[in-house]
Amino acid sequence: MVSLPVVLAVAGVMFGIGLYGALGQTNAIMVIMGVELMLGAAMLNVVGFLRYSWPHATSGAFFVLIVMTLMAVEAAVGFALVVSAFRNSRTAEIDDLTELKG
Amino acid sequence: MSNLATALVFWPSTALMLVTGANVFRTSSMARAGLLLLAALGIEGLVFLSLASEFLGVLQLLMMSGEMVIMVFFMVMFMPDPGGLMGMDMTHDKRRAATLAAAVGVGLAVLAVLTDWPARVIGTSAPDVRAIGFEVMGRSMVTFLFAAMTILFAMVGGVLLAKHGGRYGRDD
Amino acid sequence: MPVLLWLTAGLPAVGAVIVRAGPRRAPLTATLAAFIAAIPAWALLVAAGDGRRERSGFEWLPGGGLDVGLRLDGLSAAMTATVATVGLVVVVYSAGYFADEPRRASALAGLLAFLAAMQGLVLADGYLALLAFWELVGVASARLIAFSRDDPAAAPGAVRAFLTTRTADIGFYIAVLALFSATGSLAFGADRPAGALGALVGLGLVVAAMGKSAQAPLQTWLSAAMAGPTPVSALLHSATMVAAGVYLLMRSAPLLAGWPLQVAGWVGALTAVGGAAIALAQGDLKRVLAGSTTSQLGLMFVGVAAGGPAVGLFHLVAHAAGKAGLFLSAGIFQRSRDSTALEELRGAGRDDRTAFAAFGVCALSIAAVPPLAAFWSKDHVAAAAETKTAWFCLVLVAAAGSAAYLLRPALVLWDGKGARRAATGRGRTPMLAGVGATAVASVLLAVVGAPLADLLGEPSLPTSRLSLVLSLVAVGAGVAVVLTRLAVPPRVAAAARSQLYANELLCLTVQRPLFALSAAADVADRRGIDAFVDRVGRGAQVVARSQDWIERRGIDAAVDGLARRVGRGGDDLRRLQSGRLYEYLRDAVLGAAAVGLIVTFTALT
Repeated sequence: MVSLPVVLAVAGVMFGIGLYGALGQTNAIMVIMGVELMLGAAMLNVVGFLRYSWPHATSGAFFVLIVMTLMAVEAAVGFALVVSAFRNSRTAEIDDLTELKG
Repeated sequence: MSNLATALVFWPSTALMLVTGANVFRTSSMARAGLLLLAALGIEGLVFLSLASEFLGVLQLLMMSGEMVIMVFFMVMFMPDPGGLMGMDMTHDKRRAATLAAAVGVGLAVLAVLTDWPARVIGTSAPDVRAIGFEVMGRSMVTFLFAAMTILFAMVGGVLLAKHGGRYGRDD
Repeated sequence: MPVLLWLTAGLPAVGAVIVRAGPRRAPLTATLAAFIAAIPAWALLVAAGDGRRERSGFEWLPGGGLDVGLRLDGLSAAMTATVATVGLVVVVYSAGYFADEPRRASALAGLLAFLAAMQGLVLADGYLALLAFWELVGVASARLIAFSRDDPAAAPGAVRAFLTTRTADIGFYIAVLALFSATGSLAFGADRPAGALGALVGLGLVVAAMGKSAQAPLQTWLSAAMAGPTPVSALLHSATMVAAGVYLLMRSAPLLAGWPLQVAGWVGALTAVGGAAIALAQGDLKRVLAGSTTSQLGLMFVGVAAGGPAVGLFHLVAHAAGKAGLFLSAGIFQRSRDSTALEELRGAGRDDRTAFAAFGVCALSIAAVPPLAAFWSKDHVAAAAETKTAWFCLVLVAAAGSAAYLLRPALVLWDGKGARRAATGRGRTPMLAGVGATAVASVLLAVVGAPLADLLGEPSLPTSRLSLVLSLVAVGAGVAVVLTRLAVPPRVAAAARSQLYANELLCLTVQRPLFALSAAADVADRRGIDAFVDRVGRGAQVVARSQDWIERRGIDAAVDGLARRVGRGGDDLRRLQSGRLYEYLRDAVLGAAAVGLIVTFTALT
């Protein structure tokens, strides 16, 4: 019953949720959270493929490992940035952090 | 795992994951959002387990818990109103984001369902942890090294960015 | 022998230069020059009488049939001798006439220069040379008429003389051009070509002769020319220059044979009568003499037309002596009374009896009283005209008129009521010498008729007892008219006084049409051509303005518009970089979705 299309579909929906957050949230940290969700969806995709198509593809597992690591790293750096930005401009709302506009 | 067991773990976990994931963005409390995210991603680990990736599942649970807790710490320390007691709406442009997100999500799901995936299931076992270890230390060593370096830089960078006075500043 | 030809024409010119170079001795040098210049002329006459005929010239336009040169034949020899002699007499006279004139060197040099041109004219070989000297003579005449700087009538008189003769010379030019086009040569003695060109030749030469010889209706310039000094009137406007028209007729006899000579004859006959009438009505002695000259020249025209060149030539020579004498004696009276008006001159003859004696002799000659020269010459004219009754009658009337118009002034001059004192004054001797010479000539020339005919190679001159008797009767009639103070209808008298309205006629026929034509041309030019050019210009302006509009509104606007749109496009694109993270994310997602769709579709199809 649980088959590859199901897993992929679930991952797809999760990706959508994460996207909603990334696009719709004003706080930078919330945006990072959306991105985390999206990355999680991607990982789920890979795991599904691992399970149903290429079980012995260790590189796939490695990929998931790396992505997980990078999720964490990215979150850390992201928070540091937010803190720094917060210190400079007293706000973490990305609506206000628009100094890089053209 | 047998199909039944898989299904028994998979479906509830998935449902919970999606629900908590969605709720991350429906609260006005940053702390609660973080915890909900922790829940979502942790449960994803359970999903991994159900899909016969034990190593990855456990790893996910471990990492996410640590990460989210740190995130919550940060938020409480630096954010105004982390508890969301003021009830701010932290969203903007909800409709456009929602439409786009919905479109993408539904599109991907439809894509997944409708595609004719090649049927090539080879065994039911996921990769051996041993095999993963060999993989890491062998073929993918370079990638691993780079990942490690990236983490190091991230740590240093993060500390620099986060300290008082910024990169050049006074240390007070 | 050819040298003589060139000397005759050239020496007077040299003399003119010498006179101008040394104005102190002008009278003496001028007289000497005139005398020396007359010698070759007499030599030529002698040679021609011996039968010598010569030509000396050169090709002016090689291969074009245009030759220029001088010739010696009977006609030119007679003319050159006449011109030289009259010229000498007048120059001698002028030494006395201009005794008190500070610019006398200029006048004497002018007379000598005229003599050179006139000699060239009578000796010319071919119509090209003749035309050139014809014009030179006209120029010299105008200059001499305008000599006086004080007389307000001098310059207008010169202008009228020059312009009238010049206008008539258009006929000469047309004739020369027609002759050259028809025959390719301008030599003397050719027959008139047939057709329209021949008609142009004949008519043109007759018109030119009419202008130069002051025939009606072109006679008014001669009266205006009387504003010049009296020696000038004597030399140019009685004896020589005005006779050039008659000379032209004589020279062109073959060309003018037939209807052109008939026309000339009619013009001459009518002018003879008209001129006499005008002379009778004038109140100025010189103008009387001018009218007389016109009338006598008309008689010469009749003579050439009816009797041939010899008849005209004899009368020309006789008239030259007599008319010159009349003018010179008039000049003496002018000196004593400072005027030529008849009223002012009343009794001047009684004061200066010597001058009046000369005047009388010359007047008798011109009035055709035997045995003086002009009687015989006019008799030949009348005899020749007998063949045409109309001409004959007109000649007789003119004869009567000549007697009348000369008797009238003579009576005024002799009138005792105006006499004042005896004549004195400077320069009388040369003047008296001059008039004396003319009076003597008027007597002696009576016998040259037959020799002249011989010279020209013609049979004897026509005579007729009828014409002889009738001429004498005419003279008597004229005398009677004057002595009985016959009344003339006032309208006729008024017409005669104003030159028989010749000026008004010319004004109507020539001036008014020309002015109308030029006015029309001006209107055409301004309204038509100018307007057209303006319109073209304005059209070009309109085109330019429309181009400018097209360029500004069209092209520039397009270019500017394009630039502006690009700029605005840039501005719009700028808004993509809003600085809002989520918008960047959104755009990334959309892009990725698009790529995915494309890939999917290409894979599916």
